[in-house]
Amino acid sequence: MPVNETNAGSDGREGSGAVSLGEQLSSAREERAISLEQAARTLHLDKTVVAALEAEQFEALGAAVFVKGHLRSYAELLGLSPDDVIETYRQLDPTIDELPATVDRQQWSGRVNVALWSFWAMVIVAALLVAVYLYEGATERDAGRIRQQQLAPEAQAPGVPSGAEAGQQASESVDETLPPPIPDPVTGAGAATPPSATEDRSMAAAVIAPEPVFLPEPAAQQSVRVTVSASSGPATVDAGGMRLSLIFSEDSWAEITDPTGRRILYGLQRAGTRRELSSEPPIGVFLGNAPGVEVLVDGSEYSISSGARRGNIARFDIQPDIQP
Amino acid sequence: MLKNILGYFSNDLSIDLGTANTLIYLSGHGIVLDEPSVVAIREEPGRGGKSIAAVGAEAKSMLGRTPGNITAIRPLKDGVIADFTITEKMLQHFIRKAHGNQYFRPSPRVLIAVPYGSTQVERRAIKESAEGAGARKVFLVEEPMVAAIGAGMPVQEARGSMVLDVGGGTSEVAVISLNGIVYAASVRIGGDRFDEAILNYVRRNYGILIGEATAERIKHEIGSAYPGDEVREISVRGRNLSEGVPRSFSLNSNEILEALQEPLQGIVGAVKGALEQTPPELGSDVADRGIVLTGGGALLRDLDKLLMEETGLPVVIADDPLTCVARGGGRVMELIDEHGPGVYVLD
Repeated sequence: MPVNETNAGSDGREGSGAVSLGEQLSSAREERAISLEQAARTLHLDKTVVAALEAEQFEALGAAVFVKGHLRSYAELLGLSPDDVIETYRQLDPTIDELPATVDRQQWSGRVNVALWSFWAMVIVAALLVAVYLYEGATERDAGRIRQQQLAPEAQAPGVPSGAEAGQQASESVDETLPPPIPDPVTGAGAATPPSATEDRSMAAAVIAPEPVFLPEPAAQQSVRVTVSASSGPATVDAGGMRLSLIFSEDSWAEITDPTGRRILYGLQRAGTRRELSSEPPIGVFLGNAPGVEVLVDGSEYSISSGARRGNIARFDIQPDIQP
Repeated sequence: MLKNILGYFSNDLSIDLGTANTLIYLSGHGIVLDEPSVVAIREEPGRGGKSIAAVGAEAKSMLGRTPGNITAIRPLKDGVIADFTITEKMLQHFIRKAHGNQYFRPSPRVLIAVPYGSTQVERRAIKESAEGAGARKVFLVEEPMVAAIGAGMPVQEARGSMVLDVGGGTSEVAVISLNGIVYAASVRIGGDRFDEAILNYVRRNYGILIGEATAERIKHEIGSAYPGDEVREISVRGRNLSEGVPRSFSLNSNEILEALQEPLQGIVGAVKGALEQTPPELGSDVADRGIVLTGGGALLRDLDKLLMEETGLPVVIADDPLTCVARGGGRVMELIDEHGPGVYVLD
């Protein structure tokens, strides 16, 4: 029986959308033959509150939470669906302030991403600026160091190498290794050690004319000839290996490597020994006691630049011809 | 400094750090996280320490089903922190999850509701664990106040409003007027005590041991606080204590009602006590409008009817009672932005 009544009530509500909430409540109450007083007593409410609900005077009942609560209890008492009644009440008063109880995650994550990406963009720009600043600083420091290194050898321009005699000795010892005969001064000059170019050139320039010197010469006498023969071009320059002589006046560790990194001399050399080596340039040289070793390249003395020295130790590469 | 920068990319959060569930309300968006306050810890003797195996719903499914090296624990007890480190880790996990952002650590302003009766030490523990979890600013507010605001009660009016928040670990009743708590009381009875009562009832009357998860399922499905016309039944399994083997048996809603009598009477007592202590003017306002029920406990069937019959006052259940505290916290956060933290925020 109550089921039928409920159905009748809900049918009536659906059938006529014009029936107001208050009318729905009062008609349902009358159908169930419940008086206003009885309803109020059951709900522990004041009779005026129930009357206000039926008259839709919701403002008199205070906040929406109370109105909804009372409507829900009343609807349950009358056998109506509480959810439907609350929904109708919401339509009556859309201004019921309710905090959103759910969130559209998709929308939210999109919003976060905008903030996030702008943040990362700022970080990347800042990192680039810092990188550029550091790079500029490093380049300037390098340039300064190179300038210093260039100035250093000229400042301490060493004495004229006493290479003439030694050069002859060297050429005798390696005669067979060189296809063209040695005595030609041009050939000797051509194979002369490039690393000493700076010093030699300065000497040569000091002694003779201020003409451009293309081939470095250890001795002033030779450099004259070189400058003369320079016009004939460096065609006669020996393209083969480089002869390296090491004269040990004191005990010294020595390690000499060819361009492939292979050791051609390795070990402690006693005072008074002399080593003759031949290899393609560049030749890597490591000397444990550099002041006690005289280095001759193709018969000419090779002066070790101060940059290659650290205390007694010297580590340097003997390069092929370097054009000034 | 970094927290402040990251703060611009984090939204304010209101956290209901409950014994049973943690809810997070994201400013202007709503509830974005609702997970059980459970953490599963894995012991790693080889690596000389412990690690977090799971947090939230995943960890809850492990409760009572873990092997020797995993312990599923609830770091909060009776509304306050029982394990500081684990709470911090859990909050950290939840805050990250609520922000849904894996690129950087969020650093939001966080509002946390604390039980009314909590001590200075307990409040400080909550505040520090939130700060440890990455919050750049933590506001603490009293739970009954935010629950009332979240329920939409007119707390700013010069009228008495009574709210009863039945949580997982505690139930709090408060009379509020003019943005302040006139009287409040907190009892350590909540959803957990209901589960415990069901568990004890079944063991005592059936000689069968059931787990906490089963007890909770029974409460959800057939639990009620007031005798109704309809009797519902549920079939569950538990270990028979005398035989030692699992047995299936059925329970009905009247039995559960009987089982829940003790904790329910505790809550009713607290409400009656509050009504006794309320100044008469405010008491009449409450009698006129009614008591508002919030919290997960309000979902226990017919709890409003029980309170109505016991107190003789109208009782209404707030909309979406489970999220009232978190939503109310969100509203308080907006008020803090508008008027400063003076009104509601503690210390």
